[in-house]
Amino acid sequence: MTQPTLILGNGPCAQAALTELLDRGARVILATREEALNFIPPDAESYTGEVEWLEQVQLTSCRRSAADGPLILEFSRDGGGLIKQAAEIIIAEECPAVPLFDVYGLAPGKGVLALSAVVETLEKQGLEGLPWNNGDSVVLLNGGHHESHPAITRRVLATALTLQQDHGIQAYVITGNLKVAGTGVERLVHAARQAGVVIARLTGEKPVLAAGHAGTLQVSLPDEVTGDIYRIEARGVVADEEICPDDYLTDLAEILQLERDSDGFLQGGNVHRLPSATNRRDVRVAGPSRGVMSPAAQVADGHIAAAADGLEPAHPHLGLAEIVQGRCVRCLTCYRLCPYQAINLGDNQRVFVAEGQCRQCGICAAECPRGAITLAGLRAGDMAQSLATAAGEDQTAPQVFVFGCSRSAQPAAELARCLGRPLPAAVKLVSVPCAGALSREHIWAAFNQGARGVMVLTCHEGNCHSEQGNCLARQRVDQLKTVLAELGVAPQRLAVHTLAANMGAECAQWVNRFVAELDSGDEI
Amino acid sequence: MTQPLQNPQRVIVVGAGVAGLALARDLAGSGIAVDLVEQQPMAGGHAAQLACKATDTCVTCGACLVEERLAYARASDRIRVLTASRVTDVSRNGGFTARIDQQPRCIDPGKCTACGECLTACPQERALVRATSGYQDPLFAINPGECLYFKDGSCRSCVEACPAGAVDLDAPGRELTLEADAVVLATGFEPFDPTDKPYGYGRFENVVTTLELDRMLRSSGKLARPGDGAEVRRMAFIQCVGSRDAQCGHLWCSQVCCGVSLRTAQWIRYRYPETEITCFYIDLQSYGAGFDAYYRRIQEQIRLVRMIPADIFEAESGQVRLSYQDPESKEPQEELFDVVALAVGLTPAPGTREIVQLLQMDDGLAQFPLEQPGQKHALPPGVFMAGTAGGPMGIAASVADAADTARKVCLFLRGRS
Repeated sequence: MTQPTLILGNGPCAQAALTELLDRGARVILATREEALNFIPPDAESYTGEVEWLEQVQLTSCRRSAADGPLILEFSRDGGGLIKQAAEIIIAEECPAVPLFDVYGLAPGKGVLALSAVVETLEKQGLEGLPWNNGDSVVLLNGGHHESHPAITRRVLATALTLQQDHGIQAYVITGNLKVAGTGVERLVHAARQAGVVIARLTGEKPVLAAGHAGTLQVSLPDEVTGDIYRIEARGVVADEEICPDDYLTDLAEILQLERDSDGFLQGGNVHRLPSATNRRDVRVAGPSRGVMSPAAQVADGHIAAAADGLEPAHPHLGLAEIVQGRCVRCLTCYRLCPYQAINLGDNQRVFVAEGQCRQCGICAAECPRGAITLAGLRAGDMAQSLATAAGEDQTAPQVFVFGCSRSAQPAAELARCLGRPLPAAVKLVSVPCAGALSREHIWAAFNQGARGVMVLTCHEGNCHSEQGNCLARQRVDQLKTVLAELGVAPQRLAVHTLAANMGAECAQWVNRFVAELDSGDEI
Repeated sequence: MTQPLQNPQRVIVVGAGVAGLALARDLAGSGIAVDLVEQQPMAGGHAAQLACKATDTCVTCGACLVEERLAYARASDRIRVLTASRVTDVSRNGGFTARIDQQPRCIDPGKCTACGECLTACPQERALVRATSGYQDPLFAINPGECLYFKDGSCRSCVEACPAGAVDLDAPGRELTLEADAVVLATGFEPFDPTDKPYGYGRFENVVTTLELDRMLRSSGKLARPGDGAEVRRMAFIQCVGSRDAQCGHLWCSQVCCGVSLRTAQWIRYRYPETEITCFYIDLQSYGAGFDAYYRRIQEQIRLVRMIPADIFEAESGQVRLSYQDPESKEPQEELFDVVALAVGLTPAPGTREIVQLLQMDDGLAQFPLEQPGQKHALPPGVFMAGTAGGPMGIAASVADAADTARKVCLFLRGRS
């Protein structure tokens, strides 16, 4: 029986992922920290899959015990715990909308409300639920001190429009950069203005607030065109909100060793993970867990994450990482460095590569201090062969070898050729799956072959398919330069650059300059 | 690479930009055969014309995402890429039957060495196009719509210039008939043409669009004045050209232009630290993660002026003079710039309307249906839309939209099998 997919989450995104999986006949575990589901569970007659519901649980650990084994997941619940197994995880946890009272110097209270509270109250009770009446002025704040987001701005504008059109309120939206980069938001701005909503632009970080007449709040700000002070006697002020990843996402990132972006959302800033992948093949992330997005986008994201099929092996001509148990001393360097968490320590105290998780980046093989890891096609002998092949017939003349990442350097060199700037004849390009696969031995092999110079081309920082393969390659190059200097070899003979697949012109430029410098230096 | 398919279901994807290519990959991965029909001589769409904006780190512009998908489509035996091809007719009979008109492939990729002599010899702009990506196929192509030989037989410069004999101007085009179980419109967008705007585009040689700027940077890796190749000391970006514009009926934000301009400005500052850059905007849109901190850093490097210039003149020496009302002092200002880049927005593509008409669908579907109010126009069963054909979105959103559309296509096909 196949292992189930674990979904973490309880909102529309998680629900969409669940529905998609059940429609495909999959087995699913849906786990939420909350007491009850936030949605109506699908009717058992309507799908062919199976679902197990776990409420009030929090994931606390995740590991594999065997190469062909499932993920073993521990959850905490009510002071106790439980253990489940799964093949893969989809994270679709929602992030709270945090009201930003402090930022504007507001205290929540009569007339001063958070955006979400106003939206929900209007939905359930209409204007009666709010301390405002027909004819009152209400100010809605959005951004200024901070940059808001179209998903929030959309809610602010929709709320302002409803108050204005349906409830006789004069709505004022006081905003910093108006975040309209979302489907339909500009049209909403237009509709709001036509309905009479006043949209005033903040020139500073926030408006000035003071007590007004008869229990109102006086909101003042300079008019953006004339500079005159504009005063509003507001019966209500609606504070802006920010959607922030909460601590659980931080915990999950730690437990699962997932990359995070600088806002704290899962998935990291690596564009190669889009739309729903992470650095682990067995974990996908969707909707609110990977960024702020509209409700419609969250649902689409849940569907996408559930429908995602595993990609084919990245480098079909190379093997997967294999650990030679006789040589392994369990230093766990590979375990620490594998960007895909594909390497684990088993119950039998042996280090293994989990089935289906290796992406053939070669970082483990390059870093293993005992040379205990091999990838077929990337061994030192294979590399010597590649160098000889690249050198071609010209095996006696000193060459310039460029070790290029298959993702960036190889296509960039091809583009350079197409732009009419082929690499000089003396340059031999040797493609590696990831620059991180380049070991010190590989680079030495090039010099031993009589290379005049060796250049290493990696992907940009933040753009490596293997997260830090590029940085590891750079570190090795820097270390080798020190060694070269000590050996009395000019360190300029070894160079490293970052580039992307579409940088043909720069690739040609750098390689040509490198060769020219070698030619002029000539201290072989 | 993958197992060959036995009697697979087939899908026609019209448009091989980043959405079409991403969709093709997702469908192929699910065991579906794809015919990618691209009207341009090369696949890749607009994304394949964008320069990488990395400074010392990746800035998540997404331009590189199209590269891998181009490579995949070319290598996959489940995906057939038909470039220089237009759909001329579609009929339904349970499935879809499409007639495709493919323009002649005059440059034989088997013989072409990418020397570029043909391009150098060609007297007519845009008649001979060069690939912008190492994964495009072919690398050089003739555009019969612009080529003088096709117009009046008057020019054979490329044939004479080619040392490999790879050019055959009389190569025949062909007509194909494709059968499919579903059709996807991934026909993309058209960049706004700012000729009618008062920015001097088309008259002043140093006023360009951000897309033209991207093409220049991608092909040369250098910034230079378009007019005379001189150094660029002062540069201006003008945002929202053709977007958020009630007058043109473009009531949308194109979502990508602020990111394009600011990332390009950062790229320029990184390589040319002496170049001064000013960005004229209305409301700056965020992009990437950590935008608050990033925004503060940008303001140290680039002058952001919350005002759109009213007038533009050409000064002597080809420089451009912009006049605007300073938002702080409220006084009129005039400044000289070497280059002015217009951040043009996305507009519906003519190709979308062609297919919408062939499929006898509601014309609203050809006008950015995502950005229209009220009732969404329904697509008939078996017809889907992905990417910017539906409405403005960036590369990341296009890839996600393509994944969602692929899922819907698979669901539909499962229902039919």
